[in-house]
Amino acid sequence: MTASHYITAQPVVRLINLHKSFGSLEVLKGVDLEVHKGEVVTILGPSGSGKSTLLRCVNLLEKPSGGEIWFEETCITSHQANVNKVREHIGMVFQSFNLFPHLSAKRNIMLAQRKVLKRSNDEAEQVALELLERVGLSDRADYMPAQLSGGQQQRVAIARALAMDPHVMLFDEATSALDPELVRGVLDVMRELAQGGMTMIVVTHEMGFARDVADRAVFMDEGVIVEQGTPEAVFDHPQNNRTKDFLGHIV
Amino acid sequence: MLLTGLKLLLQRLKKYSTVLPALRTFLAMVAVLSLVVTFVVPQPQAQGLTVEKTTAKPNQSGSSQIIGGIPTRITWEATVGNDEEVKEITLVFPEGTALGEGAANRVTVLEGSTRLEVPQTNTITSEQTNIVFDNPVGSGLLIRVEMSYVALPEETGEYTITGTYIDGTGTDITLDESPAISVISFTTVQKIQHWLDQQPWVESWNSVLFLKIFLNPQLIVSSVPTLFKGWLRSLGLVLFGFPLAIPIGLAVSFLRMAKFRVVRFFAAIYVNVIRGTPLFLQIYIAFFGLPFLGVKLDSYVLGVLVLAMNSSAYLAEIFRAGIQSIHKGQFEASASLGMNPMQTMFSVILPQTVRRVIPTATSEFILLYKDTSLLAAVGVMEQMMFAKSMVASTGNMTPYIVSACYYLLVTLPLTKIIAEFEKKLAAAEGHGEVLTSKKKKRRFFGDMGARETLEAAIGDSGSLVPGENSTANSTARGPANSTASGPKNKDLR
Repeated sequence: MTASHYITAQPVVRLINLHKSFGSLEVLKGVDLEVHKGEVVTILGPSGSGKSTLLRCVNLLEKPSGGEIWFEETCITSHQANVNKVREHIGMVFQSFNLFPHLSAKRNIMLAQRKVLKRSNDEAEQVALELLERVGLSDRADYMPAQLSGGQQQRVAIARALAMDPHVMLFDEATSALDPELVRGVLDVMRELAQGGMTMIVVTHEMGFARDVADRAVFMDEGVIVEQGTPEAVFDHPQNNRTKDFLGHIV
Repeated sequence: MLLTGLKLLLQRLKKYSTVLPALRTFLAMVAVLSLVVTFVVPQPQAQGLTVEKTTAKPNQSGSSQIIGGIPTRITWEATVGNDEEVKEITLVFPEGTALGEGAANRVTVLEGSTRLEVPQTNTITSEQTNIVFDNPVGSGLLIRVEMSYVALPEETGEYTITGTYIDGTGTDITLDESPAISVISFTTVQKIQHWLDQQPWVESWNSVLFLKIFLNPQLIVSSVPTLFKGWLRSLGLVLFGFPLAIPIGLAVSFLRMAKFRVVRFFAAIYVNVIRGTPLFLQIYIAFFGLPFLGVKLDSYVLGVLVLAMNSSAYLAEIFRAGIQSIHKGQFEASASLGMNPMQTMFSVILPQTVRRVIPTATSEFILLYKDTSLLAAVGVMEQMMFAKSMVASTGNMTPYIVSACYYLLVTLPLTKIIAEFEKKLAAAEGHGEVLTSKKKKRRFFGDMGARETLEAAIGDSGSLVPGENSTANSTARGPANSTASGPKNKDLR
């Protein structure tokens, strides 16, 4: 992707001067960010820097205290916006998987397709099986979440989000709750998604993944974006002291 | 008598016979025929000895009925006609009569107002009794024969005593048929009770005061079927009341979590007032208060309603706790998929809540079932009421004990089921435990091998499983990648 591409195309997600406070604690202090179609953006930063809150604002799991969020042509922070309709097109993967424990892997993927997209049972099932195959779990379709490992659960969760044909996928520390040996399977699925052209915003501590896969790395600290650029620029030649400090600790 | 009766009948029928001449002819013929029969066929000479009455003594305590098959005392009375005397009487019992031990006749004569034993010799068999008077019994006397330890036939029916007598001239004359004795047959319970009455061990059992008052065998036998009806009614109360309480409780739990403070406030009042007052009081208010307002409901229906209302408040809190115990990630995941709150509630939250609340809701069911007994206080016919009336009529506590057993019949298995369910639930929610529990379950049912499940859980720990494949095919979004990873998965196990 080239810089000119970003300028000409309509951004998928656009945050304008986003503020978010929990009571008196201001977590986001004016964030501007544009994410374009097909772009993979990783958000890095120390814990408490507001990365997750930023991500959760994008699909309005957190209601911003100020600023605007645009999803494609819609300003989703306006009162007229149909939140559920917007969320259909924004997939999200959580740190704690959040699979529906009473449904099998397949049914987890089918539920929202049927309820929200009103797909037929057969169609939803077909989509579910295709996606399970894509995340390498076709033999686990009828397993209950409790019978799956964390890594398998997270892959089912990714498939569940993908089933809604999202225009952008949000990953909120998708591998942080996993045992180290299970991380790789999930990252590989994410990597494959990225290379397949999915627009993604990824909050992660996996520096290797951020460096290899991301088109752009965004470094946040204390509720603001401190530095952003290509992964090479941010990782290898950080300009900001806080970025240097953070990367110094990690590496 | 017979003639006048027939004439009356004829007169009546004539009214109709004008309409139907054929019928008239027919009736005339019948009338003639009956007249012929009346005069031509010899009638028993009833004037010599007229049967006055035949009765049997009720032979079951607390009952005015005569039970077949168990001994009773039959009293038979007849008057000797004027200028007649009787030398010998033979009474024939209905077919199927049996004699108990010590069957005997007592023959007396009423002369004026004094009752005299009559010297006689009698023989008694199960078919008949034969009484030969030492001296012929004179005219105008009332002869009474009392036959004890006679067991009339077991089948329900009307039984008469027939027989013959020999008058002063030595003629053998057939007796008038006696008035009928109504006999009913024993119910199975009565038969068992009767049998128990005769058992020596029952007698010694009942000689212990405690056993007699609390565990009387005869009363156990009669309580079981009687209280069964009450048991069904109590079950009915709870089986109608509880399902009714579920939707009300669910609705109230939603109101308790409503967005608007006012709604929450009123829901809280409902729950706290009902949970904060005794059910007994609520029953009294409903049963004695509603009639003042002109509301007249069948007491059983009202009972169901009060129970449902009471239980709904408890269930509301159970449901609320259940819903609130669901991790907020479930709400977020549903929201992130574009599901609205309604869809989230009914497809994601409630199905999970149901499993969690089943143990507590079942406990609530048990409580409510036991509380149906409170309705006895306002006269709803349920188990407690049946037991109370039995105790009142027998003066024995045994029906209460039997009643306790009926309650336990429901509550004990349910308690067991709750315990099992809780175990299963604990296993299903914790990852580590689920394996051991599944392992046991699977083996127990001979289902798929436990190993497979175990491996399923540690599937990823081989780190390579789908990882390598997806890297290799990372550019392909299509099935090429997945088919590659599929077999590999299998190879690994």
